Amino acid sequence: MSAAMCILIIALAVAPLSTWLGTAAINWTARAAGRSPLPQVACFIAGFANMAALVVLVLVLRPTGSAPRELLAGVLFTAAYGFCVNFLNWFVFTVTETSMHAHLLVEIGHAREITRAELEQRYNKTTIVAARIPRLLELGQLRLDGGRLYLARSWVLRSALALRVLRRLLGIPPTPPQETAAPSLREGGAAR
Amino acid sequence: MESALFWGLATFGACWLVHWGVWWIRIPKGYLVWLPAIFWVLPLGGISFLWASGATRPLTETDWFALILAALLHLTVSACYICGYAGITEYSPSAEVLLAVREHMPQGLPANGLRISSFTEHGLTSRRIEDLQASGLVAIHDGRVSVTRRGRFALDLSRVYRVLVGVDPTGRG
Repeated sequence: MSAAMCILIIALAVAPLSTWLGTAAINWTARAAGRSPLPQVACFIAGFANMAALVVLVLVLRPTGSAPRELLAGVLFTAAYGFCVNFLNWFVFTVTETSMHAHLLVEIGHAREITRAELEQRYNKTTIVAARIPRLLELGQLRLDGGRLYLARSWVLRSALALRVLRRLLGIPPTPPQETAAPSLREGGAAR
Repeated sequence: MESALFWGLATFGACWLVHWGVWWIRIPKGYLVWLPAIFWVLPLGGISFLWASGATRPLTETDWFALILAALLHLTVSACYICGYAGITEYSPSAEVLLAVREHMPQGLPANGLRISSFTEHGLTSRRIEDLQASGLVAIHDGRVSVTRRGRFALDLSRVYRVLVGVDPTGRG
């Protein structure tokens, strides 16, 4: 195998590690500057920077020649691969940040021993939604103006609609079970 | 690169069709066993069979390069799909909040008037406690829930990861 091929394979193989290190470096830099880190944003910045570096690398190395189709395929390949690495890096962080299973485990771990009723009182529909709204505002998915919530950028919503299509394709109910009498949910968890 | 891109995506597409077929017959409960079996074991088995049967010609350096790249692409795309599959089956509260706000666009929705009729308390909390118990991460004795040794290991792992990545040791849920 040529040197260019070997370099590209090594670069692709270390891309997950370099993306993760980039995310950590951004968060630590933010902390050092006295700012609170925006970890999901850091994941995206590190991921897309890594993806761009891979695209540049394939254009410089040209491991299978300089034919336009090969170059285009190289760019598409590294972009797709970089995007997936970006997603996986963000996903691992998200599991520790927003996963409800993980959060319940943390709550139980902190309490050492807790009854189910106490657990459900601490971590319920109201508290879950109350934690989501500030994050959606932080990520620019929602906008708060004059006490009203508006949709802003909508990639999370688009992903949710795409997931509904996938659920239909796979024969899974597209929406979660509905409550017959819906409780009122208020920002800050003050309702009920 | 062209053949690597083609074969990487074609392998994922073929595996997805197998997954779709299996799911239409019956949706398996243990998707963490079924999806890796379909997306990783099946193509590995297919390639091994082709190799063992002598149906493939000797590979050149370029073929090896394309094969490694195609395998890397298939591995990452399918890993994304398997990780994202939880999002297909679990329903995200964030997505439900956005869908609720969307119903009130363009006039917007009062922040204190947000109502989410989807999700039940059982689906959000109780069922997840049962999942944690089934995974051996928590144990329930006399109605009291506690973390098992495996659960403690998972918590420590998560804490170390979060400290290294430069964020608070505990997520916000």
